[in-house]
Amino acid sequence: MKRTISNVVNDFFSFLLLLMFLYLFFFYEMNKITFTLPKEWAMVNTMFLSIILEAIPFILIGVFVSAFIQTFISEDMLQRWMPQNTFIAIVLSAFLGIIFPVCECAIIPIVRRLIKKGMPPAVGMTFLMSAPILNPVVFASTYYAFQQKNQIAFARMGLAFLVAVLVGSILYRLFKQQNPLKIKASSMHEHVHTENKWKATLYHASDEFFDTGKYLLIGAFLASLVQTFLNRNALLQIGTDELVSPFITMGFAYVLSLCSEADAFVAASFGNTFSEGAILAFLIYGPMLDLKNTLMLFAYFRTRFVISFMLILTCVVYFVILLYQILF
Amino acid sequence: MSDNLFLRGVILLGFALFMFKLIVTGQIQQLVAPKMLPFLYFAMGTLFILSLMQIWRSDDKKQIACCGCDHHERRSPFQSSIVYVIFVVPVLTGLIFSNQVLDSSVAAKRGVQLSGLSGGDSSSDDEFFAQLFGNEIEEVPIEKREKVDKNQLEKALLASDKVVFTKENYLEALEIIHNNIEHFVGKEVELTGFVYREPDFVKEKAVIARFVISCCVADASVYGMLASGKQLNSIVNDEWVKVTGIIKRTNYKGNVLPCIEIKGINKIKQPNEPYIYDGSL
Repeated sequence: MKRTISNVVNDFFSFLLLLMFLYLFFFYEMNKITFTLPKEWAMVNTMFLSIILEAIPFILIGVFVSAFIQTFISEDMLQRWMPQNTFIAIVLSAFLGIIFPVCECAIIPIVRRLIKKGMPPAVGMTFLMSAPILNPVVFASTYYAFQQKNQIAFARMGLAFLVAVLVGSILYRLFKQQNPLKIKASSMHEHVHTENKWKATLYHASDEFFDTGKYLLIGAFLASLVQTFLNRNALLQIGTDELVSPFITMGFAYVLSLCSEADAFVAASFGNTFSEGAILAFLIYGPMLDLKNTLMLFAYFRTRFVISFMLILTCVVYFVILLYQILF
Repeated sequence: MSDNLFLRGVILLGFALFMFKLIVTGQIQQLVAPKMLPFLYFAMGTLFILSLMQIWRSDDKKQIACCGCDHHERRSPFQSSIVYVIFVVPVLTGLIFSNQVLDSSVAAKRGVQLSGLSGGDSSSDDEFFAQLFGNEIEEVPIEKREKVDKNQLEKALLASDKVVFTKENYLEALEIIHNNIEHFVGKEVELTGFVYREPDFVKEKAVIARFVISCCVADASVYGMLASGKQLNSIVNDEWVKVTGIIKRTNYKGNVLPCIEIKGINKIKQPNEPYIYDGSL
């Protein structure tokens, strides 16, 4: 009985919301605006909307691929495709991005699904780290942004591969086959659908859109605050030291939460403030880990696993960059 | 949460309508770069279909609450309504508040680039790039080709007496002038942008700047050219101007930079497309 009352209330509010959306859509004239925000908050709003509009298509793609895997690919199939040797699987998964250029918004639901289907976690995480960087689209945009320093594009690819494989291997040593995913009560049974598989895929997709989307929205909001209020000039001035500057650019990459396709362009606008190593740190760390998707990681994976992953990744990127600075 | 299918459908519809309105009014251009538009069409269509499906599914009384894939953790009504508020907020603020165009307050926080795209010459790179992607060119359309070819532009600019900046050549022209400054000193120039001053600028100095966007406004950077002249006295920051003048050489913070000696200046309305979109993929 209680259930039905709350249903009625829900439906009532939903209906009101629908009317409100329709009213705003058809009758609210954007130009004869009556409500305005203070300028800085209007800027936050603009940044926020821009980030989510850019991310939503890719979240949807990720969610669809994930739903597709859930519906069409069985554990057995995945087992057969996976190389027996986990280290070989880790190295191979680092190249998967070349075939499936997935950006960092789309990758998390996909990897989570793959791990759930029995992919070793270390392999999944390697794919998660490498796919947003090691793909033709990102290579081309990096190459374009750093035209006269084309070694940056190559170094970005090479170092990203190195970092992904190293972190993947360390995770494998530490966690082996432990399931890093949060176990939720209802996830224990596999369901039997009587409906057709395509409909099931669509249902999964829209459920997962809400599941993933909320973390993205919160992350995007935090990133838009940083985008609006952080004074980059001041930050750029601290960090020209070879040891400190990679940390600064990594922190930068983390909070700005840019798309891996667009971040090279931003890095190019740093000009000559930072060393090449620091710029590479920015270009490698950002797509693997940022504010926008940290929440998603925490939502899907065990806290201990996420924290270990973040720490290991940070250290590995930093040391790889130091090594690069020494060698080149 | 299957009892909230209708609400979910409404929220998805809200997102689709919001996107549709932005696209129809052209405001989308002030949020994301045109090259992202196909993805947004895809998203809009998909959200619309999903929303209709959810609303239709919500009416299906026989619907079994479970599909076993952990979307359905039981939450208190309060918790789950918070989740929906998170989704409703962007639709509402998007439909209600108009976009704020980036201005000099953002430029001040991000810093202005006065030398074009990361400086340096790149004459031989295009060939190399074409070689590298020789076989892939169909799959990876290099939009740059539709835009101005940099080498051609460089030749054209070096040959002419007047440099006219357009939306299409903006970044490339800045870079070319910066790299070949000795050939451009004394030439006429025409440039449109908004006025930006660093805190240490006198009133007669400014940067005529534009925001350059790669994917969305979050990745915007500011590129511009120094300008000086008495005419700037009456122009405040963020005003849009069309400037004509002569290119001079100047020293700023230890760098040799081109600078416009202003001959004429016109205040103009902020263009409908205030941003420049960079030509990368």
